[in-house]
Amino acid sequence: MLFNSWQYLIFYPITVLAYFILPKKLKNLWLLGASYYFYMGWNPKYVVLLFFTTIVTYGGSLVLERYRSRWVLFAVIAVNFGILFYFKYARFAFSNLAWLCQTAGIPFESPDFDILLPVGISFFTFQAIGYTIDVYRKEIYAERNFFRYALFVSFFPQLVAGPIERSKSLLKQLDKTYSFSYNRMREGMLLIIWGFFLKLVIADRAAIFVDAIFADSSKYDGLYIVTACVFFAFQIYCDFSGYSIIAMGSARILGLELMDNFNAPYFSKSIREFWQRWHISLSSWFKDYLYIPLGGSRKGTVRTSANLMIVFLVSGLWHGAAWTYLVWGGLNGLFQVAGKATLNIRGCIRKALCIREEGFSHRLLRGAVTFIMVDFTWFFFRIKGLRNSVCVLKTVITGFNPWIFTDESLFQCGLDRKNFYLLILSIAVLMAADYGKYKGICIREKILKQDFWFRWLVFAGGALFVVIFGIWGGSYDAKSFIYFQF
Amino acid sequence: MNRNKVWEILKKGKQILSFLCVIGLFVVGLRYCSRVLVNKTSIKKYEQFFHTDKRFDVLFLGSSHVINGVSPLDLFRDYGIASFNLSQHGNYVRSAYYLLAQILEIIESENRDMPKVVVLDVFADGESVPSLHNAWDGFPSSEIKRDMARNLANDKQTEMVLPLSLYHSRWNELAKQDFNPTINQLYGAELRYGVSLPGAEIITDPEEKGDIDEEKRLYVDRIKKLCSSFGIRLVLINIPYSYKPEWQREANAFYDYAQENQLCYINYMNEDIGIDFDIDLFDTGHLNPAGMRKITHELGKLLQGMEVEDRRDGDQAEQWMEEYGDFIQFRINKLKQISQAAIYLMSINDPDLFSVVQIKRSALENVQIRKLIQRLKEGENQVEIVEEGQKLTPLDGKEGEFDIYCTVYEKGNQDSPADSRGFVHQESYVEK
Repeated sequence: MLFNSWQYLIFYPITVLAYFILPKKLKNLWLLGASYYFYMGWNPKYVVLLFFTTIVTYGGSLVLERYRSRWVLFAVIAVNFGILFYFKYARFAFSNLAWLCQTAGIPFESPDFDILLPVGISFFTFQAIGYTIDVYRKEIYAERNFFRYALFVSFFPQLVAGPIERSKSLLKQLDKTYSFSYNRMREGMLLIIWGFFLKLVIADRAAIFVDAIFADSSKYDGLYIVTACVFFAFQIYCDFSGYSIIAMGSARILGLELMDNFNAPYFSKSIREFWQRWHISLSSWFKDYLYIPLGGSRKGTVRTSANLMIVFLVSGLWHGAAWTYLVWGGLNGLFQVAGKATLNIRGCIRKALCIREEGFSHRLLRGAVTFIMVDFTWFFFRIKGLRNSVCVLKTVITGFNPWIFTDESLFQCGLDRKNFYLLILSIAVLMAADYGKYKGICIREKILKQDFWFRWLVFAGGALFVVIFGIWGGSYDAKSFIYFQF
Repeated sequence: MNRNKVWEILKKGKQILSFLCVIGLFVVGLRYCSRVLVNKTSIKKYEQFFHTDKRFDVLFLGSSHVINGVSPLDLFRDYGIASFNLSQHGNYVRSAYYLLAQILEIIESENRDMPKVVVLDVFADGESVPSLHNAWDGFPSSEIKRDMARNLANDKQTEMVLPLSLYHSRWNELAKQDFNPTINQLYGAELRYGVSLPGAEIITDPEEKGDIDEEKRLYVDRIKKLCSSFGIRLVLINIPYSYKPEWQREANAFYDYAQENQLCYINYMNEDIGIDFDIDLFDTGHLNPAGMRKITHELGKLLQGMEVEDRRDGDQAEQWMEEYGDFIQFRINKLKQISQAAIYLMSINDPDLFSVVQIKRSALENVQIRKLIQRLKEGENQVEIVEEGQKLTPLDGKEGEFDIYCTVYEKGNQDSPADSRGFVHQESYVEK
């Protein structure tokens, strides 16, 4: 079940209403049932995987708490990653193995993997493994109540697209049950409206343009590709953060607080900062459960660089089983390594040119350069096929076509003039809101402190804006409505 | 009750009120936006039906053939029959069943008088989803509408029941018409100004029969049942057209169906009612106003024979006739927009107009012009044929070289012409 589906619009109010009506003892059980129903809305069969991961990590953690055995930890992680590997990476791994064998002249045929990727598997697997490691590290006690733990793994708002919650935060919150709070509802509703704005008005609108360009990238060159990449940066941001914010809002109304997954990432002044602001729940997961165990930055420059590269390559693979994701992750790692390596040189150049580090122009330049670098990596995230990416990159360099900004060519790529401008305007609104967030201003709180009429307008107007200007429902084509013959 | 508790209750009441206000604002906004954004075809068509205190004894159902084939205003003026043309473009028998069910439900809920006769055109089948939208978007959500969507709209049910899900993306093409739509004032009829030569095949032999589509038969049965449940008489018709011979054969098969079911069925393709396929059609499928007038006249006679009440002396007659007066002005205004001689000659052959036509003999070589002039002569118009070499002398003194010149008066007001127009005899009869 997707948040932007009719099913969710019916499912969510019923879930919330019943949650607040039911007696305390049944509240979490109800949420657990609702979460499993939510997951089964996509593919009922794969609920077995969710249940299996829950059972294995639940039982494994109880054992780990008692015996603290590395082997048990390894076994729990191996079983879970094994499932993840089978469903997500087996096809990729075997097809590459087949290619290697073919190149080396060894007869090998890749088995046929006709598997549908279980939605959200990377999220709930990582969440459950994070919990197991926390228990192993004695950072938390193993949860005795199976149903509560099962709810922690499957809590529907964050089940299929995160944020990847920590046991210390979410499990603790699930110890309690919540009664209805008007203020929480207001806050949650505002978050949900904002999330839908990001998803339906920006992400899905930008997707029309981006898909039109990348669906046939051989037809486009130069600034078409650059524009599509810039829009893709906002598409992926709004798609992902929109979903996370709807999750936050949905949980908030139920009384639970999920972590903020994005913190004005496009205002970052370095790739390192970007990763502190982008998909925070995943970045911090990698930091806590991979980077630091690998030695983090404590074992010299070379090890630090190697660790960074490992983390980002794994992060790339986490996002998808394709070489382009690996390149994307690798580039992010490389930019960070290069950033660290050139820190002193850049400092010297700055000094020599008398550039103030905290001056507006320098911060602006750093922000712009960071965005360009991030957007460059997004190119590999979006493009299909590594070979294709090289060809398209060539056309970006060779095709110089600035006239597309003045001769209306851009309006022939899926978005007409008005939709194109609405997208730009919406992105401007997003950036203004993100700037506020960057400066530590919580716009949500500011709105909720305003007079009633203003709040009402924001709620009703915001929801109406999303309904009218969001990309959803059927596609209207005026031509098909014109009556010609009969 | 202590003060804190009272305060708590007041606070809760304020919160509930606040929540309801936001929901109310959202719903009001949504309703307004829906109305502005939605496709207006259906609203324009049925608004006159919904916002009138008139009773309608006859309802016409079918596709565009009926829209362009039956004029309720003419039917009232000539026969006193109060009717509404509910037909919609591209909507055939299946959609007609649901439309009728919906309309009858509305009539019943508003305690309006039930119609006496329903006239259904049996032409074609297979409504497209956009055609269904054109018919249905103006109707509020109802069980009948949902049923129609389930059975006719396949995978587009949601957008049929919730039109905003389709039309919200129309925000970028909103125009003045969306805020102030022009409502059809002709009781559902539409006049199409054009004169087209007929299509390749016109079947007028009643013995050439095809098979009636099973689903169509089922829906005609349903309409019959629905009508009899309300004590309404069902009449089947087929309005002439000059294409799709397979549908013409199917229309002939309806003779047997009508006989089996003891229904009245008139296939006007096979009736000698003076329809001239050279000059009474807008295109191969639709009648022009001249053709419409003929079918309306025939239907008037038929309905009169069925003892449908003549309401020319009734309390609503004055209003009907006032609207008929507007209809004459509407037709006169249309005349001013016509640029082709054949269309103009077809349009002035109007019982409410008197025309003086001067035409050069050479212009009569064209079959359509010749037939149209012949018709004008048969009417109460004055036609003067001018020999070659002579100049036309327009009544209003207009100067110029014309092959055809028409001076048109509204009957009863022949002091000044309602319109006058000269044409040069060319291939396309382009206005000079």
